[in-house]
Amino acid sequence: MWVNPKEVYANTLWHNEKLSVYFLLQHRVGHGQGNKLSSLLVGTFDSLFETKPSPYRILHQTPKSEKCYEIACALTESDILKDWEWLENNLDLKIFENEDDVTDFVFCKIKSLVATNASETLDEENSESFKDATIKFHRLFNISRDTNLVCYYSCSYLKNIVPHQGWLYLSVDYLCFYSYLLGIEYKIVVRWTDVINLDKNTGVLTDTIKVITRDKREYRFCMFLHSSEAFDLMKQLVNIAMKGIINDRWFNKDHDLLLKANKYVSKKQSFMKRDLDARAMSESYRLLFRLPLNEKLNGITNALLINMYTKKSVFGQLYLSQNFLCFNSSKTKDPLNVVIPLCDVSQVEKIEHNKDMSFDNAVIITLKQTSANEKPSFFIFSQILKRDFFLKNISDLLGSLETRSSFKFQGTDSISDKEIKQPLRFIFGTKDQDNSIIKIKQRTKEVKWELYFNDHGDSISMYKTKELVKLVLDGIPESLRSNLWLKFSGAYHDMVANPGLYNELVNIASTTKSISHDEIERDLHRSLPEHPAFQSEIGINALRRVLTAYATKNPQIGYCQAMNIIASVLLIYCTEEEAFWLLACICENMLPDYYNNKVVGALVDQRVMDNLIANNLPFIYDILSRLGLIQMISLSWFLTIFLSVMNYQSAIHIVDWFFFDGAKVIFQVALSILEMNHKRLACCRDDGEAMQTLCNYLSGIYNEEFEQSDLYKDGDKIDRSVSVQELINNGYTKFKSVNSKMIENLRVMNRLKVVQSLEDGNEKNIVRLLHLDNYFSSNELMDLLKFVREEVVSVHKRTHVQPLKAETPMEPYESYRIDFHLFETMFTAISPLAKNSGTNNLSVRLFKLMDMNDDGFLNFRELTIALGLTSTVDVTTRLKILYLLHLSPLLSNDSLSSTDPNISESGAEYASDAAEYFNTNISSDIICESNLNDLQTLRSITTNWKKSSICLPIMSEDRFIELCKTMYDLIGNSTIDQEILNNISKISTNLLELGNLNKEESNKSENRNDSEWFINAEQFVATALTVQKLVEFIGARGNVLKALQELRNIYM
Amino acid sequence: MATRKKVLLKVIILGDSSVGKTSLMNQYVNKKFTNQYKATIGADFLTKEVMVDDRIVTMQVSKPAPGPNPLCASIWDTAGQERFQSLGVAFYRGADCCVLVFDVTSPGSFKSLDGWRDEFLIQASPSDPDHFPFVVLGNKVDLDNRAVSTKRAQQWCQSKNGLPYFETSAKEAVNVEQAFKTIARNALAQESDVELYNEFPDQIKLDGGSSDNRSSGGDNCAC
Ligand SMILES: Nc1nc2c(ncn2[C@@H]2O[C@H](COP(=O)(O)OP(=O)(O)OP(=O)(O)O)[C@@H](O)[C@H]2O)c(=O)[nH]1
Ligand SMILES: [Mg+2]
Repeated sequence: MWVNPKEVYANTLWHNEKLSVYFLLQHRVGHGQGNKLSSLLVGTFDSLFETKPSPYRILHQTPKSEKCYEIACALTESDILKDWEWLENNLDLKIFENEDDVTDFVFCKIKSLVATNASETLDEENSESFKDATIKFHRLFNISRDTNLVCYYSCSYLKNIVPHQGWLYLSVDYLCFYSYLLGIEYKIVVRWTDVINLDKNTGVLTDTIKVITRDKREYRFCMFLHSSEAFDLMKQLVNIAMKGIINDRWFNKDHDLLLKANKYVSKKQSFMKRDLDARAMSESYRLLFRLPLNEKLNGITNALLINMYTKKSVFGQLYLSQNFLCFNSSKTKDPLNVVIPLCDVSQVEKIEHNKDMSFDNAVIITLKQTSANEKPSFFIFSQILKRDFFLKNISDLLGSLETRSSFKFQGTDSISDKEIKQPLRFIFGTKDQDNSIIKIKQRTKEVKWELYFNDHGDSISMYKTKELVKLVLDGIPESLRSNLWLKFSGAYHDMVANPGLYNELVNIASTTKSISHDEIERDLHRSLPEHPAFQSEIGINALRRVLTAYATKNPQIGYCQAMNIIASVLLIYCTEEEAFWLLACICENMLPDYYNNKVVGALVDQRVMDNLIANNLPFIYDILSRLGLIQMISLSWFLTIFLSVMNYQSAIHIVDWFFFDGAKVIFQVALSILEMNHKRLACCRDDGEAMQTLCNYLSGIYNEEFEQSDLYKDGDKIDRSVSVQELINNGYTKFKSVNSKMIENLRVMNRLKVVQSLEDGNEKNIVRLLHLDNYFSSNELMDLLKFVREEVVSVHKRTHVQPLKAETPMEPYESYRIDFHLFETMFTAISPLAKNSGTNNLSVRLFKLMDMNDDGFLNFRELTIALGLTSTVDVTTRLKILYLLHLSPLLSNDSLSSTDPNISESGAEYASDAAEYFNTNISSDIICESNLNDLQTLRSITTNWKKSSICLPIMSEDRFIELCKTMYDLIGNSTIDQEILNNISKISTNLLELGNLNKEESNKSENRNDSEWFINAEQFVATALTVQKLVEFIGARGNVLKALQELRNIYM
Repeated sequence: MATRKKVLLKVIILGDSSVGKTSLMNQYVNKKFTNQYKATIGADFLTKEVMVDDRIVTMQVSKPAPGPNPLCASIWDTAGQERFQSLGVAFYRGADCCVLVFDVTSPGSFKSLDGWRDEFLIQASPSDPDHFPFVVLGNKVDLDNRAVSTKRAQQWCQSKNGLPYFETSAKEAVNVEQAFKTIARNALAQESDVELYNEFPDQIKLDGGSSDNRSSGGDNCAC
């Protein structure tokens, strides 16, 4: 690699390798040499200081000069030799007379080479020193190239209090540490997916980061510098790993980021680090403005927003992303939040030549007119530092927007539909709605809101100020709910972006059948049964449509109980389409992972809740732990936003606030509830009593607006406890400190614990289930599972696996899918039957046999059966398996084993190649039909091995020859024992004769003359058993633990 | 432990979604049926004071109490949907009796019983899993479209060490009272097995009582 020439000192750390008149090829002492003291010291020196010079370099030096210039360096000898050759072949320096001219020419040449190379290298993403670190990282830890290094930090690893100075490497999949000090090497490799706890202790001089892994190992790292950055990054990476486990989705590099013309990014960082930082920033950006999930932040700049309603100007940050322009000023005493969808923007212009100072560097943004007689609204931002850059960016974005129709709401519904699809409260008025006092109260509220709208706008781009918070806390009037819920939650954006999708999904859902649909059906009448709308088919049908449409949209969630309760309440105030989008927004954006197949998100938040109780209400935490109620009370509060625990007219107020302020509202209300019940809880003697207390309290919560009407639960009148307004106000004022950022933070840590404990449970379950198969001991199963986990839960092996739908009922072991490559590795390591490198590749056939659903993957149980039948069962059975593996459905012709392992690196593709191979071979076979059937027969034999005395099909002569070959391969490979080879040939001959006898016999008994040569399994087994050495060899019990350990050593 | 005034029984109700767990619990505790219950999210909970025949009660709470004593049963109703299953853990711990409910019109819910029972035994890990008191309820017998025969259900119960089996209707209050009486009794036996041994070593007779109950549970069976 050419480098810009720089002066260096030829010192003793370098050895000369090659010399020419003007050039000098050197390698660094201690690189790849023996353990002499000098090499040892240099090694230490390198790893302590991040000089990390490349071990090879080329210097330019003229004979009369003292000065040396480094012009090339490389990590490997071959690389440097290439450069050397190039110099020898391309630089004709004899033409120069003056040495300085030579140097000038060399410099010029090298510089141009550096320049062209830099533009050529694809890997421009990363800076040089980082690249070196990446190479070192991959080399040191022998980790696959697909794993990107994100960042590395100098730190020391505390081993029994003794610090070892070295480097911490953080990659997307692993945490690694390396130190090399006076001949002692420490290497640590931890998968993020195996981390169960992360912790940081701040000390006086140094911070200590503690990492605990699944196997209960604890690592402590001390850092002087950058500890917070490193810790944040570790949290982010571990969180990505946990989310990967939850969703079966893995990290993908964001290549958009590469294309982004961002001049302000420091080149020192790795591309991955930039990517991750960008993700984190986009994440908090989306959270701040409630934007759709895929929105990526482009940039932030300071600006002054001139409020067109009040004429006051506010200082804050202007955010720009693909589809939105947002403004936020949270630090001033008048917080303000504005979201402008770019698709609503009609014009962006500079304002020039204005005398008013506050219009310096100003931009005016005009929105499209929504209706003909309305004045277009506009926003003025001033004091934008890089205004031209900003303008260029925003016009690029506007240009690339798909032009969306601004008349998106019209013309999708036919008129008859409309009637049904309007909010249910119009059709099913409750008696409260006719109550004049309530009407007046509603009207008063509406007036207040109208006043607000006049001053701040009422579109999606309204100014959201402190006043708005007050209004929301007072409750949104019924007539405005759907509109404001959509705008506050951000569901509006998705709805606008996908016109007609809801109707489409309803149509699809109405013609399909699924488990989700059945589950939904069961719950339709158990959603909001007290409301008249859901005592009628109209309400029930609407609810069915919304829920099944959502299950169709997002099969990974499908349907989770609790969604029915939320959806039914939404339907009272919103049209079906609106309810649908709000539900989607809750499930995917506001309460992430809540409703997936393990309700992980809710479990996480339950733990977050416990942390919050411990921090904010320690006395209550003590009471709850005494009663054993930690992690028990709040699940339904979260899953249904309180709708299932109090009457919906009260809970709806919480929902109002929830849509406005996000998930933190649930926590604030929950804390408020607990705090208000402090005394009552303190008196409780056991968990039951406490649950009852809370339950009564919750059902007694009432809405001040309906003060006159009585409260009922399940048809019984009940006493009031507190008004929901008071509850909310209490929560809002007392638990202000509980903000979104804090919750996100706590979620990361608790997600780790939840995911790992679910995984633990899952593992135990699998081991317990498979232990019943009796092939392996629990210990062995655990180790096998661990190994598979380690391998499968690595990025590149999972990405192409389709995420499983939530509704497919699954045995726990089915969630691990083993591709052919991994299977072959394990089979070869464990089974004595795999100890052949001959022509008959048993692993392909065994894989085919066990892959019951032909999808190119074994599940974990199939894997253990395959391994068990070939390495732990008694020798008779193993011989039968050997026999079976040579029967026609599996061995369709001889070229079977020639499947070229080089076809592809990826195991899965290889496996599917193998599968394809089989299929084509089998179908080209004369008896393809019966062949496939036979395969099924063989499979059922394999799975029912222990149950019945199975009768294996007979074997024809050509198959038998293959079988003999395999036996030779098996033995021949490991021993050169002539005697055993003789024995095998003897039994082969015997069996061949036996086959002939069989043929004659059957010809005779059935009176025909067309019988073929055959033997049966019993004959084969009985004969094979006579060769003691063969029995010993094939019957050897595979040592799983040892084999896996060896595999790990190779891999790591 | 000696100061324990009131015996608290913990009963867990398990079974697939919509088999009628919530309805059964409410029928037993509140003596009524309505179709106004929502699907259970997470878990629900009710308590009830129960009276069990003198003999056992006096043995159980012999200390200061003259005559029969009320027991307090806390009944935990769980969510049936599969994805909530992993949440059970917290509730199962310390249970004295586990009620397995299926819907006689839904063969699927009957098939799931095995799974529920296993899951409970794993999560609650009672000291003597083979003799932990389960009671099996086949609910909704008031409906005509029955799909699981009494015989089949009984056979299953027999195969699991002879679990008491009742056919109930939460809607029409058929057999609910009797079923829960057996549940309370068996739970009580379980409770005393553990605690009274240490406290009142002279009252081991209790064991006879409990096995007695178990068979009487079988007698009560409406089949
Ligand atoms: N005919 C009849 N219907 C019943 C009976 N018991 C319950 N149901 C109905 O069955 C449905 C389900 O009852 P629930 O008690 O809510 O079921 P669950 O087992 O609690 O269900 P989850 O909470 O989802 O686990 C309701 O519609 C009840 O009205 C019964 O004995 N007879
Ligand atoms: Mg229920």
